[in-house]
Amino acid sequence: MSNETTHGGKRSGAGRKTIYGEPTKQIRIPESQIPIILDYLGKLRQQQGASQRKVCAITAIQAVRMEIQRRSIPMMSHTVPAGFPSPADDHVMDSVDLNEHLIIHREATFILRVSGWSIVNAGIHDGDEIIVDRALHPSHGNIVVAVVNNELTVKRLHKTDTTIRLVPENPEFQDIVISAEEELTIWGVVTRVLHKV
Amino acid sequence: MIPSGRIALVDVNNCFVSCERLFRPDLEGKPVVVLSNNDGCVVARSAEVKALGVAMGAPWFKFKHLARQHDIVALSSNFPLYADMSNRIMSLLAQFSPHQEIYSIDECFLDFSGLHPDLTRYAQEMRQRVLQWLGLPVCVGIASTKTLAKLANHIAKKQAHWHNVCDLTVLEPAARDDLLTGISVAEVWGVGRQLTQALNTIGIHSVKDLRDADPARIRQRFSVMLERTVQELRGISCLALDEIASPRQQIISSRSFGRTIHRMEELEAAVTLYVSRAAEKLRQQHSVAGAIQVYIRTNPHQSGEPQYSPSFIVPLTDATDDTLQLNAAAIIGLKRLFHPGYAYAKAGVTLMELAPKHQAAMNLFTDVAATTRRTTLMQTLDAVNRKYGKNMLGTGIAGIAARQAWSVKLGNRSPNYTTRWGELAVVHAS
Repeated sequence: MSNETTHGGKRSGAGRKTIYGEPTKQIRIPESQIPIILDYLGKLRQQQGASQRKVCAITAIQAVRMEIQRRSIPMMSHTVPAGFPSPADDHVMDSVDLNEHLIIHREATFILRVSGWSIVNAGIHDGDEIIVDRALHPSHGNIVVAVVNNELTVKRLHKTDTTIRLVPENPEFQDIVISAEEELTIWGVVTRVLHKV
Repeated sequence: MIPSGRIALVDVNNCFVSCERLFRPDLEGKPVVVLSNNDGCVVARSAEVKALGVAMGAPWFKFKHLARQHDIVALSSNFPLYADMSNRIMSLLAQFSPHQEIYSIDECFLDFSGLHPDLTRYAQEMRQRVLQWLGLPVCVGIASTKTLAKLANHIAKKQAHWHNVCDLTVLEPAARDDLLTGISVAEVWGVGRQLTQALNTIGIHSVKDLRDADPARIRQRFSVMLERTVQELRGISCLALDEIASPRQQIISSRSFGRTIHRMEELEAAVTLYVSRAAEKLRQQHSVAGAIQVYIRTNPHQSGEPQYSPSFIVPLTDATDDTLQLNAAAIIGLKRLFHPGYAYAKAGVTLMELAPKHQAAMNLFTDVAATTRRTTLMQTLDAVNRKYGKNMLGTGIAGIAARQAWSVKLGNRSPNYTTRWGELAVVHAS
């Protein structure tokens, strides 16, 4: 791909080349944060260019939570005017840690991949990753992972005094009614969805 | 070392099978075995398989017929999964005690002294917490010494009426004697098959027999170690953790520092040194390690100081005896653990998942030439140190960039549910 277009200015490194030496993914980010993130990625590229990536012959026990760890992004203490580096940029206040933001109970949190469309109206699509916290108490209205027919399944929990139902979020699917003598195992409570846009 | 008082030993029931079942509800209640990767020996058995008489460590091919007959599910070891679950459980259990000593991948000691008026209830709460948070069933043994806590744990597992938690200290002496009379001396920590036979010949059959034996006579006939075991059975605490051989073979190298240290660089230097020692021992016995555990700790006797004693297991792609690779793994673990602001008093490394070197499975991407060169390098390193004295030649604290290793899917290994994006457990929305 070449930079033939002129509008929007020169966006070096745009497009689908794997400039980071690994596959890339699109994500939605707040507009105000775009310059910071571009700056961060630029620095990351410089670093990778400067030193050969040191990879140890180790199964990265990059538990998913580790993957994100240490990749925190400095949050500037003021808004960044795009294009003009500010002397105050050195004044880093804090950092944004995705783990801290997404995970409450570190030990009890697992990430699973969703297969199917039955919960799509809750914003969870086929192929999305969901963050599941086993430490939380499952309450009426929670999206939960439950064991149904010896399989992990994701549904909305519907509890009344007398009935328990697992309700899909897609009119094409049926409710699962749990009878009084059946025991329902709730595997965990879904707290977040990681959706690729 | 945990002072005498109340000591709990917590371990995960059929740990590897339990880890597999968390992501495979269909395996609940079914007979499941986990096999070692290279020699097809049984390394974990579900309760159903134990009931069928399959022994720990048995070569699996001998049970093919039984497996077909009973639909036994046989899985290859998925060590990255077990290591991640182990790191989670150890971190969770540490929240229940001011002092934790990790003994192996699936068991640890906790100091329970003075924590709660009803320790059985406290242990049940802890058990519930682990079950809910991690889906892993545990048993807890509570007693006044480590040897007794280990025994209490055995009782909690074997005798259903304890409901997975056995506190020996709540029993009247007569009731405790009855209990110990009914348990073979072979169940005592550190008493192996040969020792059991030797003890039987002098009329010591039950745990109670050993407890009531004359310590001086035991020392004469056997060893100081066994004499200490007798003392421990009597409730006198005298065993440090690394004095007892672990159930799963492992090599521990750890030391307290001469003074407390605060900086990462200093810890790195210490850990590097311990790794080279442990790796040297590993090569002496012609084994390779599949994982390395690192721990650092502050001084628990320095009350008033902030306490921190984490540990972390790093699995290796290929089992290895290479100091450089083991060290790289250890430093990765250390970097995860290190937090500034603590006065560290001790660090240690444990080589785990040992296997004979000649059985080490090479994978498709193993660079044989490089491996051979490395072997030569390690032999040279050991030879130099033998000739010119310990630590004459060793690894610096520079990081090393080894080749990218690709893990190969093994026979029937479950996915790395918790450590790889590409292998997450699938949840159905259908």
